[in-house]
Amino acid sequence: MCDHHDKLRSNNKDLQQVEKMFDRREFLTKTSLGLGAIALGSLLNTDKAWSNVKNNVNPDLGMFSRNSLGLPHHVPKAKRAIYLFQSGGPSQLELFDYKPKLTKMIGQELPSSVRKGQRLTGMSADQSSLPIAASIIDFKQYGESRAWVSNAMPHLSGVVDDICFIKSMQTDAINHDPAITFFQTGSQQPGRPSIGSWISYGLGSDNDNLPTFITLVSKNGSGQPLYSRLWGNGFLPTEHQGVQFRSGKDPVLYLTDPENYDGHDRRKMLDYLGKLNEIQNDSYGDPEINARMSQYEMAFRMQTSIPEVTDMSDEPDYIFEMYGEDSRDPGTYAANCLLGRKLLEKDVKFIQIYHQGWDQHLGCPGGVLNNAKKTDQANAALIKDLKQRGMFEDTLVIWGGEFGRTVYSQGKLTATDYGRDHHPKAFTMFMAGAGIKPGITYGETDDFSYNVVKDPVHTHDFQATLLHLFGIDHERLTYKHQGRRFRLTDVHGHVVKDILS
Amino acid sequence: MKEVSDIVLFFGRFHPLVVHFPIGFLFFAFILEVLAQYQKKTLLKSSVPLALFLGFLSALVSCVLGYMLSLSGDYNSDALDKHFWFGIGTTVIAFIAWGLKTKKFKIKIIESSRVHIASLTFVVVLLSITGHYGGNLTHGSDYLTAYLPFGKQEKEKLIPVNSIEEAQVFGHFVNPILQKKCASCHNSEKKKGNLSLENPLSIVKGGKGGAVLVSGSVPESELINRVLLDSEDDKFMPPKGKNPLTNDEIKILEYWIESAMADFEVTVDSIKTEDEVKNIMRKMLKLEEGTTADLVSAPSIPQEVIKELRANGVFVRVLVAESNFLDVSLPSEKENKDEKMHQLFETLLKIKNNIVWLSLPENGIKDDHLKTISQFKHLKKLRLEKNLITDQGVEYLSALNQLESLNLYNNTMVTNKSVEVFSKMENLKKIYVWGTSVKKDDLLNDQQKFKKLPDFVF
Repeated sequence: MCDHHDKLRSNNKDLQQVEKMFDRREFLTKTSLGLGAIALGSLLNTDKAWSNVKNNVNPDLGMFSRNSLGLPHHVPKAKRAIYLFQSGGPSQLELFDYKPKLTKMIGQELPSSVRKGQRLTGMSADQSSLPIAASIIDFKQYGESRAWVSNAMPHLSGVVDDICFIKSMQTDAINHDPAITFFQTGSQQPGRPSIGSWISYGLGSDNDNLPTFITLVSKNGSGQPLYSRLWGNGFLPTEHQGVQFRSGKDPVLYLTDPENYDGHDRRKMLDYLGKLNEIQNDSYGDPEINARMSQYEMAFRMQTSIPEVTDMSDEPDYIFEMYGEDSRDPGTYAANCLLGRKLLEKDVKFIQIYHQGWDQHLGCPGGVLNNAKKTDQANAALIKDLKQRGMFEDTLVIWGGEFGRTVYSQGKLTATDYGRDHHPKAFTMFMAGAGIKPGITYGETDDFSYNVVKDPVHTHDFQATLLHLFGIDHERLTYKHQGRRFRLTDVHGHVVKDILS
Repeated sequence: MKEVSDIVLFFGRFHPLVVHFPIGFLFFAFILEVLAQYQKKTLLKSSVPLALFLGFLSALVSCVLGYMLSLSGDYNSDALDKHFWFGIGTTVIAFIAWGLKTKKFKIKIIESSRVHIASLTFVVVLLSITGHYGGNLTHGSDYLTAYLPFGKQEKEKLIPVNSIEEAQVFGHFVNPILQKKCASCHNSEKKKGNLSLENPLSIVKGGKGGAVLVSGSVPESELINRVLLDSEDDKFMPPKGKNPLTNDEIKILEYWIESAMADFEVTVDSIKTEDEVKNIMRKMLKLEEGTTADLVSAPSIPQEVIKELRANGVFVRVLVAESNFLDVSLPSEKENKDEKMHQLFETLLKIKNNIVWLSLPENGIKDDHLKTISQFKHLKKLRLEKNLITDQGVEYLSALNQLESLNLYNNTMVTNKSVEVFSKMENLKKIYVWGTSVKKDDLLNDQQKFKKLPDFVF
């Protein structure tokens, strides 16, 4: 008889009858799974016994990682990453991709030889003309690397020698929802696991008391919405999904004890609940039961770890000054960057910070300056802070949006104002830190920042490179779902070796 | 060799199918006979002649088809001969056994049931030998024994290399590809198209169409041309149903023929090699990105040590799957806990040669502990921020000549005195001294005093 019948023996006569029965579903599960398991077990064992294990390699990989995926595939450069996602599509033309020739062409029609029939969004497709707009924000070269940065990013210009700019980013999607989903999950359609989930699945946690994958969203964000599937686990087991920290009083909901409850018997409750779940797991073997159990336990530990890590009181004043005054106000981008650093110090593997508001269809220069003001100082401070703590060498910092913006003006072009529409064919991102060549600019666009003319980097290439830095071969980290093996980069992606140190 | 008509080969190729009939029938006849003998089941006995006759008949057909197949010339004649004659022998003996059984022939001297058993045993023995030779022809002579768990004969051993530069182009890269993808048909027994890729000599000799290699010229080398054909082409190699060569493998073959002039001895360092090819080679030798290559091999890891460390909240991970190099970290813990740390270091000592990355931030680490750490000779990264280390402790670290990165930030008692120690550590590249008493201004003087200093990060 099934063991759960023994453990859960009730005192009710009628129920006992039911408990003794071996139902059809159970019979099938037990017998088919049981036989399968025996067959599989013997297969695996012989495999181990007979295979030639090189230089006394420990066969029990499970000892070292949570699963036996054979990871890392190579020695990792990055132990953790912070991805500063600039949602909306920041304009490369106003920030990093300096195009001086455009000033002579202001107001001229974008040559069709440049556009080459590229599709436009519904917002500017029926515009009668596509007049070229040059950036009215000035650029200067900085650092030993002589990198071009616009005046919108005065702080970042101080750390350009630590950064690798990729000016030749390309994506497949032209609208926000598919584009951002594509960047974070490798597919324009929802349903795939996000980058952080894949990393959590592949490499597991380095901190038992905090989630492996944490998401922080700037408060009071306006513009394009963000959805929790961007940090979702897709078809991977649920414990790999990103946990969003909120900006309010409770960074993570439902961790504080309800009023009038001191929580002293919670441990007991969880232990018993754990037992029940174990019985359930023994009988049905559904991996989601394990996921739930580990989530309960994690939540319990987070009751102490979250208040500890979100407590900013032990940060000295000069750190706040470094990140900017905003950083004292929880939930702002600057405060999130600072919190991100604290989480990185606790070895949280993947942190995703989102900042909304980079969608400048109208009032592009003003909008860019406004968002840069909110983010620039914190970006630079994060890099400096990681550096002085010795964490920059194994922490990957990524900055970028879901696409770039067009060289032509959307709406009316005036001497001081213009808008820019979505542009997927060329935009700028930057990466810095673990395993990335510092102080270089990779890739080039044409004089219009419209087409990539040298070293294109596709979204899938970026994802492949990111996984590579974590010691993962993007072609070998797969998960079988609905009869097919899926991976983050689907059937695409090449590691961009030229930007690796 | 004269051309054989297609229809002959068409039927000939049914030989490997049809041979299973005589095997089944004759073996079954043997089993029937034995059972009938020992269980006295006379009913069974009456079916023996039928099984024998069917066995003989199908064996005859197999022989004919086999002969047709042999006309293709794809098979090594020596191994083929044995299979050929044993096959005919089996057929003849099966016929005789049937004759004896049905009393069509009579051997007066020993007229008993033993004759039947004996003849049938003989048939089964012959059958097995024939089948074995046949199998060797199709799969190669080491097919059965290749994965023998014991007593495996080591093939000519290649010297293991630590870098691709020392590796032989043919031995380490080309030959494994040929053996994996081609040699199941092109070996000394099977010789499809009269080509064997078993050893350099036979490769040079070529096949039916002459030499398959023209050193220095990919377009003229049939070996690679066949691989590059459209996969629907009849001449495409490997044929349908077998795994084609990967792009990486093709790159290696091209590199061997063109850059290495199809030489069998040459090593990688003596040829100009593109990075792309080097990367493939690294992958093949499992030397990823140079990082594993320069790690010396480490002893195996005792499981109970790992368990003990984990129980104490230490994170232990392998640096690369299937290696014994460890990344060990202990999350920060502000409370002082000398006793626990002492215990922990005792345990860590047991895996001192496995630890490559060690991270012990804010754990009350003192100078004494560094004495232990100085025995971890393979350390490359060491994080000791926010601890209680002094200049005295730093001195112990000078023994770590593999160390590349050292994090000492917020160890307030470390001063410029330690700079001399850092200057002696050959491989040290980065040292983090923010929040220590190391002064930037004094460092300028130190820079003049010591030739080589790591990069100090404040």
